Amino acid sequence: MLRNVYTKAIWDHRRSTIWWAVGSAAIITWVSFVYPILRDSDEMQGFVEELPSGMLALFGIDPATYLTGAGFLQVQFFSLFGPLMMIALGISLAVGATAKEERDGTMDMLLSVPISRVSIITQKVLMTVTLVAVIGITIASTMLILSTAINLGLSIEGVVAVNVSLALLGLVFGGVTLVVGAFSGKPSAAIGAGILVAAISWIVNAFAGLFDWLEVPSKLSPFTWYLDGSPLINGWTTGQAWLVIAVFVLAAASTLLFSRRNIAVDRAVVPSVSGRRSTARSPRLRAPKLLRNVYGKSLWDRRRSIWGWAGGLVVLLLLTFAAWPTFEKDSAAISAMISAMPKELFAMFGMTDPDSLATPAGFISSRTYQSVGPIVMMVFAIGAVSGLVAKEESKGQLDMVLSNPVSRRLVLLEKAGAIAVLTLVIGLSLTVFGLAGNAIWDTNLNLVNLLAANAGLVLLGLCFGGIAIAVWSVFGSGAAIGVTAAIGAAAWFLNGLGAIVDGLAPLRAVSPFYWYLGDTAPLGKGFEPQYLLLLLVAMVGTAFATWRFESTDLAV
Amino acid sequence: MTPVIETSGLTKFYGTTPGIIDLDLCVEEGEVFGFIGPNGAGKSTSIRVLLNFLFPTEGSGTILGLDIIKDSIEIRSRTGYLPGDLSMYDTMTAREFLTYFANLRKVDTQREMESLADRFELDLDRKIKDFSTGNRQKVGVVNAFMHEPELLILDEPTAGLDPLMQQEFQNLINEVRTEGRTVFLSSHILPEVDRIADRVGIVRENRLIAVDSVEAFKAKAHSTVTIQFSTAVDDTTFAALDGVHSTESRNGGSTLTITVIGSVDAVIKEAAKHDVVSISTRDSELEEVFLSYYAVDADAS
Repeated sequence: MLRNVYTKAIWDHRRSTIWWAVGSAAIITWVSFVYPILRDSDEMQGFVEELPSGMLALFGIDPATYLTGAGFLQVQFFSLFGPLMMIALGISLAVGATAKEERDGTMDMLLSVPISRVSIITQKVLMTVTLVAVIGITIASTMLILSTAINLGLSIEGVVAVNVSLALLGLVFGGVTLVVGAFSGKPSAAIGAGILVAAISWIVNAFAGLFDWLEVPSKLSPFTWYLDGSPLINGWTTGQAWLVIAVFVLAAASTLLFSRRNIAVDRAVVPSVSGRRSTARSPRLRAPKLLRNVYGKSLWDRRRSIWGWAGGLVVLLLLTFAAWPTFEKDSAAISAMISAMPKELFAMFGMTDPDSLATPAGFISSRTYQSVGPIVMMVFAIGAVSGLVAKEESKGQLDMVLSNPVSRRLVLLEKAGAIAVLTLVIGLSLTVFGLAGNAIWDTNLNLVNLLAANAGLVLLGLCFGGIAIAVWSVFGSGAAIGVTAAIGAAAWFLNGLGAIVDGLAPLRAVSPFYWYLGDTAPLGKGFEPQYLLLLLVAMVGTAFATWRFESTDLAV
Repeated sequence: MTPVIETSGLTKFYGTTPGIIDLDLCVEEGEVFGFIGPNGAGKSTSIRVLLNFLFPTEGSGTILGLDIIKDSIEIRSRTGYLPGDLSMYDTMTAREFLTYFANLRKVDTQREMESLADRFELDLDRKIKDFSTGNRQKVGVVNAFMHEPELLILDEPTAGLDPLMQQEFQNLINEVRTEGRTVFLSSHILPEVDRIADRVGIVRENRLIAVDSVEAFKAKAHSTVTIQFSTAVDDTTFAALDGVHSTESRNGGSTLTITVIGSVDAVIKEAAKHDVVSISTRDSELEEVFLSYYAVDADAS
């Protein structure tokens, strides 16, 4: 396997690929098993045909096909979960192609052997394509097996077409990451660019039906190319051609950029320090005030990225507010349809209390506080613990910090405090803009409920932060992200499954998502006692980690 | 007087893999103690136990009379540390990094920071990730010395420094010693330890196997005496002398190279009985002492 760059790269990803395959197969299986519930509901049939246009745009539902297995999966998996997963995969593989190797300095080593840069990046691109394809094939085969097993009635052509589309979508945003990584050599910039372009593309596509001015930009969104024509139902689409072209253009651009620039330019090209000292030293810069303690330093570390997280959620929230007037026109028809649909279907996707969907509180909750919001908050908290605690330990930076006369307890508590404050910044941003949105678009939200929904979101983030830090203290730095993400996914599924499967209903009570979402839309309720559970888990997790950290070896 | 570092039976196992076994160490105030041994012998593990990054499996230790676990914070406030594998916050500038650490120590080191940076020609206002290995090491050195600690624990301190900067570093160590402060440094660069250390401890396969002054080690080691005589000389008389390890005769017996352990007195006195053209001696280097310790091991295994 270590014969060339391509096989080495595949080899490096052997474990993670298996986990991705298992995870994606599990999700598609889980979603597929819900379809029979819908199919067997007689009431649905009549209403679906009368669906209003606003609803169609918002959920991407095609009334003619929604009740077929293909139509159902197209909406429930291939509209949100599938793309989310594949884009994450594409971006994470693409950043490993060049940017990470450059940062780690291994690219210098690689370039010291007689292989051209074009060859290196081409092999890395092929690695990305191969592994994305492996996951695509895994999903496709799982679907074909399920189609026979539980009678989903999927066509082979549709299954193949939709997975090709899905893989291409992952590769497009991976391509963006690849280009920025090849050009800048900075992993953070590369990942950021991939996520940003993907988020904009998704928002443009998702809100296109509700805002006229998004009509033209939406045609340029890869999400539109991906979703238009519903490949699972109709097979091959023209959008796929655009996706293929985009992937090729991005791959070619990254190859071109990479072969022409200075590798790790900062270290290699800048003249030696003594030569330019007189000019460089003249401005006696002062260190930022925040660098006073571990807490301040942790905030300072995230001083830029926090606005990306908060900004992303605020944009989503404001767009949701702005979409309400359009949606409201069809609200009567929507309520009628919703009351006919099995509630479990909504609960499975975090949308508890679907009846309220036709009210501003329910509608805005559904888009920000019930699906994307909690997931983003969880990802943020896990990421913060991973970056500020786990990574610092594995990189040996904690050694350096602890060579100072500071207690371990203090270091950890200050870091946890910083994460709490950062989470609060996101919550406060949402509250401020939520109040503004409420005033501008006349949604008449209850202000206490608005506060409560944001407080709940913050507490959910803290809860997962507490779990992550406790997991880190037990399993170590390497496992902190993976294990916590698995716990998070399990909690999410448990909340959803608990709503459908009677036997699982009691288990639902242990899911933090249930504590937050409960049975009522977050904007439709005030402060709930369960919110205290979220806080409790956060505090217990942090206390436990602090206790363990006091008496364990620092791993490097 | 209490030793600055004292350990008894200090042992660290990673699971079943040994890190350091039964370390009995005693470092006195005002000395420069060299901790030498090959890669993976247990030097860094010992240091990380001393600083309470690792908890000992067995044994105990004190630094400045304070318990290494219970009083770790107090110890760290009076100690400067330079890790062997420097990991700093790459996106910070050197000034930001050093100021942050000074703040964590709750001391103002602005003046010392500047003067050390000048001394080592370090640009404080560049990002750490833009530094070369040597310049990164300088940041580490400044960090360890800037608060003028009583004890310096340095893990491979001159790695990556150019010869000029190594010289500057040695000057710094000498000043520290003159001020009566203590230095504990690990290294596998033996000429360097030879030049700056007063005493040396040798670690082999996770155990401290010998501690002595540098001079004493050298005295125990081989030195070579090359004598050129005007006429051929019988080398067997030299071979029979006290302390002679081996002899080698060249130029038809008129040049003798004699390897001696310890004093060369007997050899010189014997040589004086003949007509000597020239005589040269080469002292053993610590390197040879070191290698001899490992040669024993190689023979045994």
